[in-house]
Amino acid sequence: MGFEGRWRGIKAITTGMKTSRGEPTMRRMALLILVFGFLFLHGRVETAELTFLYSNDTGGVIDPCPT
Amino acid sequence: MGGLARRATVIKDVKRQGENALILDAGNSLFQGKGSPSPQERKKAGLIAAAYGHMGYQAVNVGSDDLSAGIEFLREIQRDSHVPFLSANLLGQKGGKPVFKSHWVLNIGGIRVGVFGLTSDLRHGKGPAPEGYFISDPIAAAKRAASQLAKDCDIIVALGNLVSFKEYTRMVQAVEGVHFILGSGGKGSYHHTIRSKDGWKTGLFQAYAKGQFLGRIDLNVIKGNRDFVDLSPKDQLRRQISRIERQLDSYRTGTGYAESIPQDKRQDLIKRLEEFKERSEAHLERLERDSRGKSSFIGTRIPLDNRVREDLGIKEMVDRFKTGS
Repeated sequence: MGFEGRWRGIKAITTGMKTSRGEPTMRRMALLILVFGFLFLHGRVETAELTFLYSNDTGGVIDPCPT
Repeated sequence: MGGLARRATVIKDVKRQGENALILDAGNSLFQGKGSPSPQERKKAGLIAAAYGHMGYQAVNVGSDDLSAGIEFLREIQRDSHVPFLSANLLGQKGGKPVFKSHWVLNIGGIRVGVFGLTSDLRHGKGPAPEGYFISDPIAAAKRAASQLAKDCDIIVALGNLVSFKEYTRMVQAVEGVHFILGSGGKGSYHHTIRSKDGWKTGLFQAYAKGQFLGRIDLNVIKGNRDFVDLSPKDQLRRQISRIERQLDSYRTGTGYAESIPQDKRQDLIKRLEEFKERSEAHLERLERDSRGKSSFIGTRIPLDNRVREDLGIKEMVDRFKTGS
């Protein structure tokens, strides 16, 4: 595809996005967004950060111990 | 070292930093377990439970020492403090139902953490459970609790009171699915990964007694990945590598401490340090490679020394108790 062909393609897509006459292109775009959106969400690694704070064997001690 | 008011400060700071924190006690928090407690010791146990309520403890295991004043007393202070006491094997009677909740599920930052408690049946040779109650085999109880929690939890934590490393190892061999055991009952401190014969890994942690340290485990959880890698040595390795680099610099330039070392000896030291650095870097690389795509954790102990200021609210509670007001 030459330069002119590529330019015509881009023009067709942008025209399609801007006007209601380009409905088929809009529908295709919407479908593409949906497909990419699904793939992005599906493939995303869900991570979380957690902190455990724990005590044990404090044995009724409430004050600092002299060490 | 230690003290309730310092512990409260650290807990508050972690919460203030917006961490998804789970605050737990592994047991033996109320009494020393030396015979029947005096009225003053009972009052102190009540104060501890109330302070735990203020600090936001989400689960407290019933250790064998905590039974010193009887079950009714424990029920009473639990009611007043609103802190959930857990034990999967302290039963109303042989074959009966647990006296307290056996487990507890908490949703923290979208992660479902199942916590269950175990009471030691050894009681340090002090005889059986309080009259009218029964302590069943903790390992059999752990098996039941873990399989129940595995259905809908991402992480399972056991608050153990199993006293010895040998018992914890026996538990890991018998019970799969527990990610972490926070222990109590012994005098020492643990930070180990125990592997079952089938390859399951459980992290065992215990901070020293008397509340001198607060244990901390920072987890990076990848949902659906239940294989945790211990990255605790990572920071240590990084510090080690930069220390070696500083030493190498000094030997190469012959400055500082190295000034007084003869040239040929310095060359020998440089060679040895370079080998050590290589080994450390390889270890670090291996750790990073092994943890890729896996959940991981870093375990530390926070010393509650005099650099930690005391929380005023909890200090006031302690002071009021001491003056009897």
